[in-house]
Amino acid sequence: MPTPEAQLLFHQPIPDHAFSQDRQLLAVARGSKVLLYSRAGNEYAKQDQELDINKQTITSVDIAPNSGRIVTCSQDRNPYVWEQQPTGEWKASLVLAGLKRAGTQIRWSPDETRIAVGCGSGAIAICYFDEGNNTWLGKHVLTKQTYSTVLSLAWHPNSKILASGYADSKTRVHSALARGFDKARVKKLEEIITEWGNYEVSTKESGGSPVYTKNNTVFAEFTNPSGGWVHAVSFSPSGEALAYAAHDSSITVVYAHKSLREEAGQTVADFSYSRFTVSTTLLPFTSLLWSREDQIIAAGHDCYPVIFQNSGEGWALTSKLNALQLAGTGGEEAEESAFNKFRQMDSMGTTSKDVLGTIHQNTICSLRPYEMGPHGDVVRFSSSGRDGRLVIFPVA
Amino acid sequence: MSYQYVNHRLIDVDAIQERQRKEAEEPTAPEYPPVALRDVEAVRSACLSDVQGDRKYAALERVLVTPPYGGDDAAKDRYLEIFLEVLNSVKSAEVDQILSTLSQKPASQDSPSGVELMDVLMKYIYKGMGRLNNSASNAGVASPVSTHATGASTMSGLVSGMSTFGIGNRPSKDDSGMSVLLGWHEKVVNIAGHASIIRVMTDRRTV
Repeated sequence: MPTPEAQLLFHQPIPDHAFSQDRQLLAVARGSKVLLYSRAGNEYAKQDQELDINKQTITSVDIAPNSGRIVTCSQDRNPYVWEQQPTGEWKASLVLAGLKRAGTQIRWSPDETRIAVGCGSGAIAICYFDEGNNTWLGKHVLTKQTYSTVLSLAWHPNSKILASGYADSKTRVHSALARGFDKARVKKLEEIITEWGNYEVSTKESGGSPVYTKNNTVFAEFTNPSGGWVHAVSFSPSGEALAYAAHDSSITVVYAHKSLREEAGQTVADFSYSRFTVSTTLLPFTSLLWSREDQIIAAGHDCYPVIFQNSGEGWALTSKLNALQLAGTGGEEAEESAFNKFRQMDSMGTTSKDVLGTIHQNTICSLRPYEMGPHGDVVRFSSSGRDGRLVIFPVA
Repeated sequence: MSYQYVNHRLIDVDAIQERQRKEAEEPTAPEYPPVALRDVEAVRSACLSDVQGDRKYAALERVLVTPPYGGDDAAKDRYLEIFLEVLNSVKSAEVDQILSTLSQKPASQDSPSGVELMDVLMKYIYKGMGRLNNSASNAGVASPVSTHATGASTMSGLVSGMSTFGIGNRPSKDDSGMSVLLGWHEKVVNIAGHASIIRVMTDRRTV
């Protein structure tokens, strides 16, 4: 098995990181800046350019695979879209998302036409480019359901459905259509059927012909009996299953079942959802990644990734990537210099015995797919954490 | 008063910004049917006969399968007493055997899996610690933490229970109760991991 590739980027927490599709560019959030790294040999070398416009801590960063544009969101409530100019410089444009609280997570839709931002006020802004005004605008969805912080977001592969995890221990699957950007009128009633639920339509406003009541359609809502903040949500590659990780140290996989029937000449869809919860003995997970349709990678407060697999009889935790493999952990020697060791002992009252038996020395905050195999499976993934390390793991 | 002296952590930002705000949205527990004291007594007598007949595993499982989630404080306190009686009847050498049987129990029609029962056991251990601590402080042992209002009852049980550990060396009958609970706690963590402690905190279904 190839060994993981580890790099200590800096001595500060990394809330989020993202790679460009060719993996040549790495964007890492550090404080109120986003640092850019380019691939040089076996590691990532810091560029001189920094994305420095936010006033407060950056909470999330994402790179669109095709256009290469970067989005950032921060506790100062202002998301930005960054575009690289032909000169190589990055230029920021403000997204008028109208967030009332800190932005918590930001993600490009798979078709790259919109951006979803979660907010501490419980609102989610769907942002799109308004040609007329030449700016990015945001429309809030799910404004009536909750005031709890949105902790996580995930797009469905069709770019029309969003899943979100909240601090009120609920996971919601809902519409990501935004009034003013998506068409309002329903042409055929079949249109309102999605993979995860039916859109609500209303005939009130338009006098007879149905229109989408877009901004508050929730398809489904899930809560674990043992509760807990929902730290991570993610759709499977096909979009047929949704996984979420809650603070009760579990992951849950939900499958949506659609059954169509004819009613008064119209096709009507009924939905049911089946859930599989795997309760673990570990500390809670903060990030999830589907590597295949039957495999999920999760990582969090235990500082190492674990793999869940669906054997056909249900989901189970099958392996832990927790071995300390010192080979290839670049930057380790520099950090563990004698001077640092004594300084640490002096300032924290700790000794070198406190080094964990894992590569990450603190909570893992984000997982990203790094390299895809020939069948679209993730063969390598990256993790970053509060210890300032970036590790690229092979999927065992 | 100039702005810099305003403690910004105490400003109610919602009063300034949002026109209307719903009540604070603490995650709520799902609804459970109320528990009658008569049913509790039935569980108690069944458990006692199990204990007397040396079927201690059966007694423990009986308490854990029917936690009084919908019960009032009186019913829950009574349940805790049954639970403590069962725990005290088990010799420390038997604990490992009982816990390993319990943790491997598969889910069945009328009983959840062993993993869930271990979580219920952990809830009772923390509630028991909180109870012993309260009775200790009533008896005059100083315990500053137990006077704090800490929100959810599981949390207050947790905090006050932990604070009890190590306060005062005065020998009393509560000390032995606490050492029994701490012994069980250690063994449950060995099997169910730290997750069982985490779930006591996240779970809104209180015992």
